[in-house]
Amino acid sequence: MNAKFVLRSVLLVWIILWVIFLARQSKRGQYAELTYLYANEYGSKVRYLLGDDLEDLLAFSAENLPRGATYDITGFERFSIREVRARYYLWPLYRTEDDPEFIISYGDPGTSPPGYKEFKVFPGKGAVYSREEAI
Amino acid sequence: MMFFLSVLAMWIMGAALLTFAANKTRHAFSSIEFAGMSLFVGMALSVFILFFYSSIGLRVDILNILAMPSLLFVMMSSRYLAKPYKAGELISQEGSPEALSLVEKLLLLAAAVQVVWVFILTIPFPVHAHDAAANYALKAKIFFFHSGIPADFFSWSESTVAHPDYPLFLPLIMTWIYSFIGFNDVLVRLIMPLFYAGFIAVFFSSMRRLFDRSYALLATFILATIPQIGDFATIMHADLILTGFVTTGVLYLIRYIRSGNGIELLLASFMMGSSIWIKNEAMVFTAVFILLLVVLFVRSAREDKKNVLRDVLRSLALIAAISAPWILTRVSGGAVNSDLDIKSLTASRLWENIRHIPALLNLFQQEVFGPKKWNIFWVIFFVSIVWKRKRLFKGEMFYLSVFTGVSALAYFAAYMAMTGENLYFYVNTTISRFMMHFSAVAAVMTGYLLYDEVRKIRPER
Repeated sequence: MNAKFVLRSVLLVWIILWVIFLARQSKRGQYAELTYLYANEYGSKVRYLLGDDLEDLLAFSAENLPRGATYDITGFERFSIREVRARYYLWPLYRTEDDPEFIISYGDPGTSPPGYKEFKVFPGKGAVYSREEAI
Repeated sequence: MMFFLSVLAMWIMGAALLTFAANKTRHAFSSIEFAGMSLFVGMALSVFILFFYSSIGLRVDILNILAMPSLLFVMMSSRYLAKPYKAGELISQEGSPEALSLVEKLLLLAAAVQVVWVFILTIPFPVHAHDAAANYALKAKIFFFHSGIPADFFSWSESTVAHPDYPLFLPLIMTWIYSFIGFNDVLVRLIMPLFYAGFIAVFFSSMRRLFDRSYALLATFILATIPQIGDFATIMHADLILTGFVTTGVLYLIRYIRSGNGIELLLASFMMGSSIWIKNEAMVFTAVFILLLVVLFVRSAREDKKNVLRDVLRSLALIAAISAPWILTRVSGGAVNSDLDIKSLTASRLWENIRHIPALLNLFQQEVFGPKKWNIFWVIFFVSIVWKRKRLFKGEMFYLSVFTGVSALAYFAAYMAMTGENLYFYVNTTISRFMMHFSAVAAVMTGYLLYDEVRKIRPER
């Protein structure tokens, strides 16, 4: 086995793997996702990425909470992809854990946190609570 | 249209600075190199400008932004539009290039397919990747709607924006583009595949200076088709930009060692100094680069010492001038990293981290042998190191080997010493991208190590 054979084989393996990983979907449904995103407008793309429930909750909050207000968001693992996407889409609302004006609760609304009252409830999807003296 | 205008504005600034530098030193770029480097240098300049505007309280908007590229465009045009033949001074005249061979055409075609595929994967998505949403793109959104960096930004809490201490290169690039196109987090993402294409161009042009054309094309094809690099060109993360800047810096250092042309060392230093603005990890690369400059001076021949000292001192001054504003801002702003903190270093924590080493090595081998992210790149790299080990510290390879080895050790040491808790988690979530930071320099090393072998098997033209 000489160097020439080895180097040519290595290049061949590289090219085969390159073609496989180029064409193969890096995750299930990648091509369907691409087709969907190419075919749809911005709002639908965001809805697709966030999921219907979360998008409803965030769209309501972005529209109805005063610009620059502080909020905390619950119902996710801290720094999970949904949490960071929520924080990104909600700006210019400031997320803080320190006495926020609003609490956005994703998932089962449950009961109002102490010191907060219901602002809006989305049955089965979540709720927005406002601090007693915020509004 | 406005997106391309925003990129053109950056490019013009880079082209103007390169033109100025080339005129001063009578250096000639290749056309591909000039195109790619103008983008890189222009991106860095746009970051410095936006940071400067924010520092003096000047509003970041399209009119203020356009002032600088317009000024530089007028200066550049006054020289070259009136006397277009002078543009020949800038671009190296190598006569008519030899026609591409079939293999070269195929390599070029394959690289082009890869670039087009990266664009296809990037175009339809809004910002969606984790670190983009948590960090870079959120900061860009904040800066755009605030028309600059908020005064107290560096003291904001982690719950408002992730890692306020992180360098602002990518957020400021996005802010620059938003100033032209308005807030559009689908269109802004095109800057990443453009950067990727620029990186491939610059990598090829430098490899072309070090090796022959077909070998440079082969190396470029390998780099461009590493899956991890292509993947990071489709998301708004700063890791590919760091890889591009650091690799370009190292390539220019090697070119300087070969040619002794001072502008190449200045370009290397510009890229290294600018990388400080891209990611914190650049501190490691820049420190090792500075160490290499000292070694270069010490190892230089007696008759060259004066010139090398002059070039090294200029380079150190350039790195200091470029990086100082960001370092001072970080220090004075009291921004701290929530993940890596030297204050958390205790003997027990260090011991705890050391106990994790076998698990970390397992993660490392998964990367090396994982074709999904790396094809067989790291296998080729490590095999060539073992095969050609006697060459590792000869000639220009010495600098590549020391740069890669010391930087890798420093990464490892930083993790061991500064990671507060759950080292395994941090390494598991970052090892792929950290290996990417080294990948292109590793590709250059592999190129050096295997050049003679590949040359032997190539058919004569």
